[in-house]
Amino acid sequence: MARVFYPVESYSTTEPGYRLLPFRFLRLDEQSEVLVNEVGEFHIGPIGTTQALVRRELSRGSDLYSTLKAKQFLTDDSSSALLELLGTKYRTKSSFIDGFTKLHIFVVTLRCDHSCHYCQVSRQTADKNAYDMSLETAEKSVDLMMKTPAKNVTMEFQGGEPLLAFDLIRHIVPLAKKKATALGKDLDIVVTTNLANATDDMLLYLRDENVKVSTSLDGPGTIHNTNRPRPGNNSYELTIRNIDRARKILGYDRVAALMTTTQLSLEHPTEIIDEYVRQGFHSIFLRPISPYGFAVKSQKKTGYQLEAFLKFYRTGLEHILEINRKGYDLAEVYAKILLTKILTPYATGYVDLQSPAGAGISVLVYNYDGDVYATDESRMLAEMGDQTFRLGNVRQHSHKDIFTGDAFLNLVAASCNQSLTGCSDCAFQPYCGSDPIYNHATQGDIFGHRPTSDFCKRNMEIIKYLLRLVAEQDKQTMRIVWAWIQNSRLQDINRVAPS
Amino acid sequence: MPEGFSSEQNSEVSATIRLDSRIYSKEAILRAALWFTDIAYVHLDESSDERFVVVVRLKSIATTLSNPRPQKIEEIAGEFCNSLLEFELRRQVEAETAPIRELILAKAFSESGILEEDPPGSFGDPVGIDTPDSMVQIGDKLPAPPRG
Amino acid sequence: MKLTTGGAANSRFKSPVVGRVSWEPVDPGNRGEVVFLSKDTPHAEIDLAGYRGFMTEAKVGSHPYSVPSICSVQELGHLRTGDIVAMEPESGFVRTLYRPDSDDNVVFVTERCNSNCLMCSQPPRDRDDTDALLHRNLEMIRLIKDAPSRLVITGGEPTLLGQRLFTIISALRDTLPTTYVHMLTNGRMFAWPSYTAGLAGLKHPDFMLGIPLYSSDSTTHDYVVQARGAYDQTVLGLQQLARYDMRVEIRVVLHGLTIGHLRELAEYIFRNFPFAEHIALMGLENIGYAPRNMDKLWIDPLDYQDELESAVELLSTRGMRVSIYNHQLCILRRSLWKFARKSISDWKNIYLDACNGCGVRNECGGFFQWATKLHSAHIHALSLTS
Repeated sequence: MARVFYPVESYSTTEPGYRLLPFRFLRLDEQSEVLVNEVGEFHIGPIGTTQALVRRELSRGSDLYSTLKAKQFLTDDSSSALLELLGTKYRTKSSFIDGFTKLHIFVVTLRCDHSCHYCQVSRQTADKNAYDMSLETAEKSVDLMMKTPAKNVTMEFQGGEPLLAFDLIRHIVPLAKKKATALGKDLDIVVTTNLANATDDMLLYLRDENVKVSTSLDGPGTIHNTNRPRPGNNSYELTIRNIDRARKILGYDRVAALMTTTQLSLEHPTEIIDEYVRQGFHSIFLRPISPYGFAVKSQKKTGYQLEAFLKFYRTGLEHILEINRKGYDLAEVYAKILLTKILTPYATGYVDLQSPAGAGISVLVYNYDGDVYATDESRMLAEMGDQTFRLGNVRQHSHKDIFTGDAFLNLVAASCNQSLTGCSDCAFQPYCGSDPIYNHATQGDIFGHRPTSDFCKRNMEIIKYLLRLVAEQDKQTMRIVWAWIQNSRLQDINRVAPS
Repeated sequence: MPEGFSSEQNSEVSATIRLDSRIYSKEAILRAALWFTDIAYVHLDESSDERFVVVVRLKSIATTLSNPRPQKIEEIAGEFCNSLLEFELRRQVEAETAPIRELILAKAFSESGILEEDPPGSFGDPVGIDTPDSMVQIGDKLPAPPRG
Repeated sequence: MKLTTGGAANSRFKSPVVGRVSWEPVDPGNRGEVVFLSKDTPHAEIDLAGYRGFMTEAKVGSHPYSVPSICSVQELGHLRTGDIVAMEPESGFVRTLYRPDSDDNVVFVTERCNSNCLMCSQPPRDRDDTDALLHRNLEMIRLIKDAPSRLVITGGEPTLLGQRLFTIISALRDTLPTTYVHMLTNGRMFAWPSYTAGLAGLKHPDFMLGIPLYSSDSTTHDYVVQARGAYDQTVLGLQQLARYDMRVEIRVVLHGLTIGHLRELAEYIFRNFPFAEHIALMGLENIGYAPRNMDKLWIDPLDYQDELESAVELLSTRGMRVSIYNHQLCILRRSLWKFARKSISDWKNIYLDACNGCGVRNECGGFFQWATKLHSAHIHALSLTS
């Protein structure tokens, strides 16, 4: 068989023109628009790019054509490989659903020594019987948790202040571990605590049982103490001292901090961030102000608050990037989650920004009284008299009862942004999520009204901001971004990248 | 203003937009209209002479902290037009890509094995020599070499 | 196959003989796998009984020897005791199959290929050599005494052996379990899930496939490899291999048809094949088909450093391991030196006159032998201080 070389024309498709692959688009600003396809690949171009693409005005030899073909916005051959690739990529992006509920929150007590402005649930009484989880409830909750198909399960102790019910924790941990081992599951355990009551014994126990700690740090002393009053008004001082103790006993990396944003916080982004640097943390989560009624007792919720938050976020992110450029590793968690969705083929496991929504599907809350809720906010709503998202009770309902009950099924009907008005044709659908409980609490129905939704506006604005940042393609900024996405240090990225 | 689109201002807060229903779809109009319902009440009618009539009434024109730059009614028609054109474009993309989108989702969520088609070409030996050890021959020739 | 030499074979053998060579006589109990070597005519009393074969450079008239032998061999001086050779009866060819001293030993399984790449360095031949090579390779594997750290399965296209490829890999797994095996393949046969399942089922403990991908665009890739449908099959093959948890490296040869969209290809690889364990960016070899197609292929490497650095920046910052093969340090941007590997097999490796006195000669991979005819116009010695 004589071998001959053939020209390139022999290998191109005979059919003229091209076919579109599923994508959505929106206007980024005055000059540009962004196209995002079904599996999260994006392209930023001048206004009119989509129109030219759809009207078949692109020519096969052009750079734009080549780019859009590589990114899977158009195709000009009947490639079965393409369908396989897109199917695989969609499945990869959806893989967080695999295993169903992975995060299980145990509210072991409502008792707490703090009276933080944004918390609805804490009880000042020392009456354990009234507000602690009973042993029986705890055991039944663990049983219910282990019914999940997931191989990797996280158990998170919450409250009130969980360490006030330490004996209960000491009972639940070995029980859960034993059941996990028997079922071949991997179990991670976290306790969210203000650390005010953490004795050395408690910390040693947590270390020995490989439990991670997540504590609250709202910023420098003035902000933190204003947000989180307690007798003696020394929450900040206690927190700092105890973070240090916890790090020494559990290990530096086993202690994380989260901030809660208030009106006061909005005015001090750089001070809060600098506090995190001062305390040696390498990640910070610039969370929005909670919209739930219980969090804004004395605060009027007004439209400009969202603008104030966006300003806070942008200022904060710029400050954080500058800190990274100067050599200190600090990742912003929300940006990292969004950038992972935008820039990589991978899924993310953040339950508050996913479609289908995390409520029930990815997270479940077991309250001190045995009631089971779809999210932490769901149980706080119940504290205010709204039982909409109570899925059942561990003493009365089985796993099947809970997940086939009306409360859950109604919730799930509003959980996919693919089918929500306003989201179904939004370019950011693959990057965003849905939150029926948020919609219910802020707008009165689980489906929500996108044009007036702060959830929508906030995510849209932040995603636009991040897309513009990526479009600049500043080399150092991108290396910082890739360090965040891979949970690496910038110096590690610099070491493996061109010198 | 593009073809089949006309508008008139009724008052300081209200405008009427008339759209040729042969050019603009109800679906696109509804979707575009949705995004004005934060600042306006929108009313849609189908009139008898193949036209849609959209009446937009601003909720407020007062300047407030939460609305520091309120929309002017004169701008509404232009904005609505832009938005409508975008949603028509979206409709077109959705219509063209719906079948393959369903295929992609079906592939993504199928159990392996279902929906698998044979790869293109033949599994085998370009020399076409039969060998005893289970080289599967689908047809005994390669596809014809490309024209050239 | 390395150095080939030849001579005149005697009539004692009809099928190729594969054996371990020895310059020193071996005691009768251990001769069964050994080919005895001698530069001169051996003494008539030398007892060759029991050896698997015999070779000499001496011109011997009538081949009195009792064992398969090749005489009048052009040269034997390159062979060392322990090397494994194949003696061919009809042609008298002597092929070196394996050298314990080399890091670059190869299991060559066929000259046939179902692609016809414009720059192929080992142009395919369309004759069925699979049975002969299968037996030769199985015997070679069996004869290896000390397991090498790595072996490369190559051709032609190894998957054209079908199930017999699995026979070879199983032999490697069983006989040389500590040897890392790297297989160079176009990956097209793995589009068939049953074939991929077959490979995965062998459970070789340390196995990786090196698969070339030249573009995200099917037309360009098919054109470079001169096979319609190759892109689709390769992409499907990569998908199936990932599905079966096989380790994969993606290779790109850098030339006129791939450099123009290299960054786009790098992004495409990250988005679609993020499981690839390694990306090899390879300089063009001026051998095989390449000289014939050089008008489409040649770019002086110095002229594509921008594209190369951009692609490497993209891949490495995303956590993908990248190597640059077949590039000299003097024409590679300094920032990319950390990715350069000394990748040229020892038996093909040379340096040029321009390299004399170069301060980084030891770190640089140098050239292929055939680069004397075509190489960058900018080769120059570097001083250690620069």
